[in-house]
Amino acid sequence: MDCGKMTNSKGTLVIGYNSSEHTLATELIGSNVDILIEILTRVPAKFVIRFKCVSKDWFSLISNSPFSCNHSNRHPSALFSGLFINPVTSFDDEKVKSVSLHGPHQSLPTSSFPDGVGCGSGTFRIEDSCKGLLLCLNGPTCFIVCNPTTQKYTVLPYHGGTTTSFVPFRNKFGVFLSSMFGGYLAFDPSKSPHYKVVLVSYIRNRDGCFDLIDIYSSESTSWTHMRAAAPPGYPFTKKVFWNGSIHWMSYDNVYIQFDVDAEKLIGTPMPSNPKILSEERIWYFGECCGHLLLVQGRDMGFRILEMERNYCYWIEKYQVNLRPMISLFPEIEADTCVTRPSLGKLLCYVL
Amino acid sequence: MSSSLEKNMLILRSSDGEEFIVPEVVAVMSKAIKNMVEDECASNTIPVPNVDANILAMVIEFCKKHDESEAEAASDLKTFDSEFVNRGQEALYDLITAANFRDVKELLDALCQNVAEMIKGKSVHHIRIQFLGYQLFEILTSNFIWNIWCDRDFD
Repeated sequence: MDCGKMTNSKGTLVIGYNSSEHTLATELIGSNVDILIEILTRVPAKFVIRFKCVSKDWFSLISNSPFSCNHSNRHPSALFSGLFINPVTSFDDEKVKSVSLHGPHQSLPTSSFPDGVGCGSGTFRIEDSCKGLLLCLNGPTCFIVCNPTTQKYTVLPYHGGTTTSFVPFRNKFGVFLSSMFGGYLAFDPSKSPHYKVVLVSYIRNRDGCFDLIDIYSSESTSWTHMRAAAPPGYPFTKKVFWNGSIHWMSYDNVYIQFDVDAEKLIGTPMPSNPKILSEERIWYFGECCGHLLLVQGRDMGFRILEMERNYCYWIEKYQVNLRPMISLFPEIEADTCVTRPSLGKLLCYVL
Repeated sequence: MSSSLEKNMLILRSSDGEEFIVPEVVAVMSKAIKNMVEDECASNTIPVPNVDANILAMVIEFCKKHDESEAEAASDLKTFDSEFVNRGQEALYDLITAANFRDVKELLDALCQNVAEMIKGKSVHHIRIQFLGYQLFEILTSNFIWNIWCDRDFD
């Protein structure tokens, strides 16, 4: 490289090899917000957060929501760092446990920080999680949204009001919401910095069947309530938030979606083939690599179904026969294999 | 377009007056130049102010490679990109300014990625010196409270 060409005789922009001149160039970049944004969107989140301390300008630039949207679009596949596990029973001394997936030395942030928050005489359970946020239920009706990484939390106001039919069910273990009920967190940082909490309950009475849906928006910090005629069939308990909607199925083979933004409940009858088995046979229902998957156990094996893009039918992707494997490894019990297998154990054998 | 020029060739003139003859397909990888060509407001010589011959030569080299290697394996291009940004280390910030100003997306991508790699492990202190040198005095004096908060994170 020709050093002479690098030198501007007027001395306005001198960039060359020596370090003080080089610093001048970085400063120019530092003062050019457009380029700074281009660079910082490419820096992994962990470091970007640290750079908030550089100056007030950097702080407001990084805290700005279009920036964080861009950043999370560019770094979509953050690895899972661990699991939070609800206690099996609801005795008071049992807490939510956590397991780090990056070895025993990398401890996860504790989930016990909101303990004792809210009306909390009941048990503390995690109801749902979405993109790093947890939806917790403390006691029968007190919902808390928390971010274990920042250790910040928000106690949601009581949702009551119009949903008078909402009654928590009691059993001998304590207070639980009925199995027909579920709380879901709808959060997509690539689209909006705000989240929504959706409560879905299925009510059957003399007037017929309907779904009561309560939606909390972190933007308006208030609840809205809606009631929609339930699609036919008793709903499956397993529901999943994916792609802006909550998805579930019913025993009448109707596929149900609740579009969170449009606040619209859609039921789509599914073709009879491939057959959707009863809920106990579902091993997995959720998102994987941008597709909605349903894994059903059946006859010493399992099959993986993928939802078609327009939510009109399931496509059978794989059928796995475990018979040969079970004959090789007789310690896998055939019964557990069909009904409620430890998928992890099976995968270990497969690998 | 001048008759002495081959068809689909353009002349780019750097800020220090040097001229480069480049195929139009290569030149229009800069969106700024593309807009000029499409609006037909470009004569046969296109001035590229603020970019000197040295930097312009590097930008053209990058664009040529990217234009040629459309059919080539993506991995080859990646190797080229990483060698290019490393070789251009001294002129890195000049190149970024040029790529941003002339709107050459591929080059801006490669360069910003490189800077991001460079700064990602750096301390806040280091970043301040590098990027905010001239403001550092002001930051350290006028924003006293801010600094108490920030200095927790010094490493």
